[in-house]
Amino acid sequence: MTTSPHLSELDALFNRKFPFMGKAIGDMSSLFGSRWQASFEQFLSKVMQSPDEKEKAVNGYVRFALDIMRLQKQFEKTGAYPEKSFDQARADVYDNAEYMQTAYLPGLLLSHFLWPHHYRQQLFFETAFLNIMRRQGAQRFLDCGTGTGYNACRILDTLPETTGRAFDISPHSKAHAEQQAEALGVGSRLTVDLQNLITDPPDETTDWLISIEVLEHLEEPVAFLKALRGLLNKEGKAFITAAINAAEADHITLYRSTDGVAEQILEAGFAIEQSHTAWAYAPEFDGQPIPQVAAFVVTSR
Amino acid sequence: MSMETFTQVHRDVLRKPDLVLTPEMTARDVDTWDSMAHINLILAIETAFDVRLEMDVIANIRNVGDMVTHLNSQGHDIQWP
Repeated sequence: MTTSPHLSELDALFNRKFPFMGKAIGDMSSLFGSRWQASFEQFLSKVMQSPDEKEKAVNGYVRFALDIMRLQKQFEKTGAYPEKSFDQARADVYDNAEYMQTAYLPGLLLSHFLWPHHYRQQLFFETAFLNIMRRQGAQRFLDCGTGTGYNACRILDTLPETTGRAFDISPHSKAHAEQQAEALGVGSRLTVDLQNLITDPPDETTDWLISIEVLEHLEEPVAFLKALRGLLNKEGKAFITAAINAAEADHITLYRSTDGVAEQILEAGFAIEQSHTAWAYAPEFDGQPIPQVAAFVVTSR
Repeated sequence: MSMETFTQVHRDVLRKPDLVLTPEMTARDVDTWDSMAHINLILAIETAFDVRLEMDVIANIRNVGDMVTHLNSQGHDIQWP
């Protein structure tokens, strides 16, 4: 990684601060090769330039990963997520400045490159959605539940003709997404609104919509999917994903399979064009529930 | 809890039934000890030894010997052969 100074710096940080996790970069590099290295290096060079930013991200990633794996082990025993309301999740996570800023957002951001299933979803997003946006000359998109802001920023960074509007209920997500957009030089093309799309739908519809790993955070995902359906123009396309068998502090709806997500997408009035499922790791024993992400390219029916 | 338990946790998680631990051993010495296995190892040690390994503790554990030292500081008696 001599030609990837930022990636080398991140690798050294993992080895210095958490030597037992010293293979985090090397493992992914071996799995996905030069393409992964180049895209991660480019991202780090723009978004996490300084050693201080990288150190905060590494600390956050390790804390976040440990937190969710503790919950995942509990989930393996109980077969259910701990009961939690949306309001509780909001108080514990989305409105919790300390947790959002030091663990959740930096952890999720690095997970796009450090978790195999998240990176595979990125590759599917690129081939099945982003490239279609490019070919069809997309001008504007909506990102419903932007989280870290990573995906909205990726579209804006890849397609310089686009403008985007992102929504989230967390002020910390909004600040994180805006900061990332500024770092990438696309801040003038992104608006982030604090808005609940079910109770307060926006005043515009779109040809291009993304909603990435939001459904599992909701008490009533079908109501949310119907709200998304209302935002998509007749000829529009949406990229919708959900986490399956993945216990996290703010995961409420438990999807046990890709089919379970697909049923709700169809119930909301979408037609599915393509789907993709990626697993986080191989099972250690028969029947072990493995975290997965299921992604769908959908249209209106 | 003994060295026997400590060793068995590593053998199970790392899927190395004949693994022999040394104080200097790190993830780099075992091919199956990747970052996911490492998290699983921390969680398995927490369960087996009834401890919670916080971030500052994890950050200071450089090798298997450091983990033993930490667990012994929590009241366990893990002795190297």
